[in-house]
Parts: sequence; structure tokens; C-alpha cells
Amino acid sequence: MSEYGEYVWGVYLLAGVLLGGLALMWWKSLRRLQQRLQAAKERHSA
Amino acid sequence: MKFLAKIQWPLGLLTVLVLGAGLWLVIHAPADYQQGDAVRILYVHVPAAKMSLLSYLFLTVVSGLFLWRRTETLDILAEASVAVGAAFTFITLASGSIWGKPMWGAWWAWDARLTSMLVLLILFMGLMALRNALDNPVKAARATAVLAIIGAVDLPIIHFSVVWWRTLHQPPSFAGASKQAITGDLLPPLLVMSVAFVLLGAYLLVLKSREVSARRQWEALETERLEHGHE
Repeated sequence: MSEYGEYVWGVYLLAGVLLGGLALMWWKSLRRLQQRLQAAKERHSA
Repeated sequence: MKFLAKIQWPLGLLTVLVLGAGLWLVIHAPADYQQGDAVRILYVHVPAAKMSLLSYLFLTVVSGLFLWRRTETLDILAEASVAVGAAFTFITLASGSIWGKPMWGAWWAWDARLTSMLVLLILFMGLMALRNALDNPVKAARATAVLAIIGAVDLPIIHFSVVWWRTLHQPPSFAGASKQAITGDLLPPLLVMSVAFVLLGAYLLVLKSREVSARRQWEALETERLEHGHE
């Protein structure tokens, strides 16, 4: 990629970091919330 | 939400496979005779733009259905689609801007397509701010649904902006009749990347919807616990 390589890499890096970052952040948050909900349900039934 | 939990992993796997195929095609596609390698930016920009509009269209439909049926699942899907749509709209504007610098010689132009797309990003951010600003979740759901439906007027403006006005932005990339539409060897990567972005958008929507649902359940439990604690 000789011409405009830095612009092309910039776009793919930005899209990858933003979309990948969001997916990771939401997945982590979902896992944390599910663990908390499970713990709360166990507390409630005990 | 159980259905979303079931489809999340197969959808994620399919997204990775199609995205991988799309990126392989992008790497092996020839450079454009005028734009050179900068044409590869369009394989992200055009699918992201399609997903921005598709996300808002989905938001409008679920908002309308929510105002009619008042089902919480529809409001959860609306909240999730705002977050997903905002991300794709930001990528559309940023990638367009990065493409514009070498091709137009400017990062930004107050052109009809660019401006109406910026309005879409402001709408998505406004919807997020409105939901966060209202303490009553029922009022927040109703207000954001109404604003989302009003904001849908921006969709035809974005789509037809390159037809109605003389703009710097080129005509639609998929229009076969247009002289500037993407064709030939440059078309397969664009089509596969478009499918990959639709799958990615659907995956992110599923993930965010499940996260919103779990957060609301947790907040309801916490509220209940605090109320019982004060009794």
C-alpha cells in the first residue's frame, strides 16, 4: 500500500478500536451484571 | 432476552467469518485508477454509513412500536440501537473526513450530505443525553421515543441530499445507473464488507440489549433492597 497508506491504516485502526472496544466493554459489563444478579438471587433464596 | 442470548454466539462467529472474508477481499482488491489505495477507506465508510441509517430506521420502528405497545423489550432495543447507531455514525464521519483530506484537500466541508450526517450524530447523542437526564424511566422511554420519531425526518434528507442538491459528496455508491457508482473489481469487497457490518451491527445490538436488560434488572433489585432496608 504505497499511496495514502497512513490514511487507510488510520481508518481501519479507528474502526477496529472503536467497535472492538465497545464490544469488549459491553461484554465485560454484561458478565459483571450477570454475576451480581446471580449473587443477589442466591442471597434472596438463602 | 433469552432469544438474544441464544443467537449471540452464533451471530458473533458468523460476523468474524464474514468480516475476515471482507478484509481479505479488501487487501486483495486493486487500487482505484484515480483514488489509489484511498479507495480502501470506502470499504469501511460506505458500510458504516449504511449501518448508521439502518440503526436509526430500526430505532424509529421500535420507538413507534413502543409508544403503541409500551413493552419494555422495545425500549431496551431502542436504547441499545442508539448506542450502536452513534458508534457507526461517528465512524462514518471520521472515515469520510480522513478520506476527504487526500481526495478533496480538506478534512471537512459544509456539504449537504456531511452536514445531515452530523445532524444524525447529534440526534443520537441527544437521545442518549435525554434518557440520562430524566430520572423517571417511564418518562425517559416515552420522551426518547417521541424525539427519535421526530428525528427520523433526517433520514430522507441524508439519503436524497446527493440527489436534491449539488454536493461535493459523490452520488450513491451502489446505484448502478450512476457514473460514479462502485463497480467491477471494487464491488465484491464493498458488498461483503456491507454484509459484515450489518452482522456486526446486529451482534453489537444483541450484546448491548442484553447489557441494558441486565442493568435494569440490577437497578430494580437494588431499589427494592434499599426500600426494604429503610422499612
